[in-house]
Amino acid sequence: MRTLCAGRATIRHVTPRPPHETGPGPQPGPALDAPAPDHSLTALVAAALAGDERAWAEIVRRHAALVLARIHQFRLTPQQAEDVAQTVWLNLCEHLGSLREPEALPGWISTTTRHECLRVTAAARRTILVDPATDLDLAVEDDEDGLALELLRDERHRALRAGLAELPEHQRRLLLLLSTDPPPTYLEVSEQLGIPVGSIGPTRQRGLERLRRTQALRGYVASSTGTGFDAGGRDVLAWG
Amino acid sequence: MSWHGDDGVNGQWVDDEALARDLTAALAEDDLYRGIEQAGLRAFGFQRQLVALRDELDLLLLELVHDSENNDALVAVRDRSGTDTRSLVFEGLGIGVEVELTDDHVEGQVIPAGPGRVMLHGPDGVLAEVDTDEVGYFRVDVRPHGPVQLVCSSDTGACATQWLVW
Repeated sequence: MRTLCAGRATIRHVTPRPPHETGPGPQPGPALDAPAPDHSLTALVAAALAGDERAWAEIVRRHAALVLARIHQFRLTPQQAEDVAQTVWLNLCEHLGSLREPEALPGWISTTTRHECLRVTAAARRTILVDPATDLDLAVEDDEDGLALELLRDERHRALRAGLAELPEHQRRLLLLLSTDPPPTYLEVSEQLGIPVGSIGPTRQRGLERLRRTQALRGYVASSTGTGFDAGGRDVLAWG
Repeated sequence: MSWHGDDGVNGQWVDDEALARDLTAALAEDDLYRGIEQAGLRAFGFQRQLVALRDELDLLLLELVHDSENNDALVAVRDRSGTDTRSLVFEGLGIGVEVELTDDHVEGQVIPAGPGRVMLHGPDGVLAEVDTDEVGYFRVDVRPHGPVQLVCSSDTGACATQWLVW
């Protein structure tokens, strides 16, 4: 089966590449040689290009929340989410050298992640053949406000996870177990943790109360009641 | 308690149930969050190998210029056998690759036409490798899912497509 051979009329003509012409491959521009503060994006990008894996890891850590927030704007399956994340990071590796302005990196990541999300959701929609008349993608319009809300939600969730890590073992284990979806019955919890059914409710209550008083959540509340949250923003977040 | 009621502090956790629900959501997301970070860390190692290859071959990066799935995203394209096909076109400076994906194989043509070699990369390494014939045609009997990059080399040059979920 050779349907794509030269006989196929639809293949577009592409001018042969002259041997002397080289592509604009990823080469560090002169700007990257300029002195920069150690932990600026510019410095991290330069270090990553030179092969410094820790610099790359820091770039990834700084932007993982942004990728996650974008992914949350679309209803992706875990597999789709993983595909999107991998694609974004792999392409970022490719483009690292040709970024003229490393400080523009967050914008690049944000846009690229959105495009990949649109792509995989389009692919899935095509596969399941949803009626286009009733399921035109509402997310095609870039929703910057939605993205900001996702970033805030993610910050809150990271605070919750950090707060949970501060709890004493018995409370942490119980809250972890009760937070699985679907939650186990108290009987199952009792068997798994070796605690009486009657103590589960009170331990949970004390754990949640303690969670609210952890450093992580206090810190989060202190920062989020500052300039970032006006009354309107809090109202929106209430159902977020 | 300053946590309850409309006292201006974190109204979203009005009670234990609200807090517990939010905690469940936060924990459910932890896997995804870590997965995103891990994907990022893995990308670097693999990409470093390609960078070496790129220096060796003077690899040109090709951008996606056509994707049947996005241009007519809402209309399934079916060929005569009734299976879905997806066509992709990547282009760079004077080099192009056209690819058609079906349920069980990938075929395509490298332009300018000529004999050469094509490698299909996934995030964890090479998925398939095959020679192209005298008109640049190739076929591999795999249907990759997830991010894929095609690396093509011939006498006239070498190129790699941007990463894309196939």
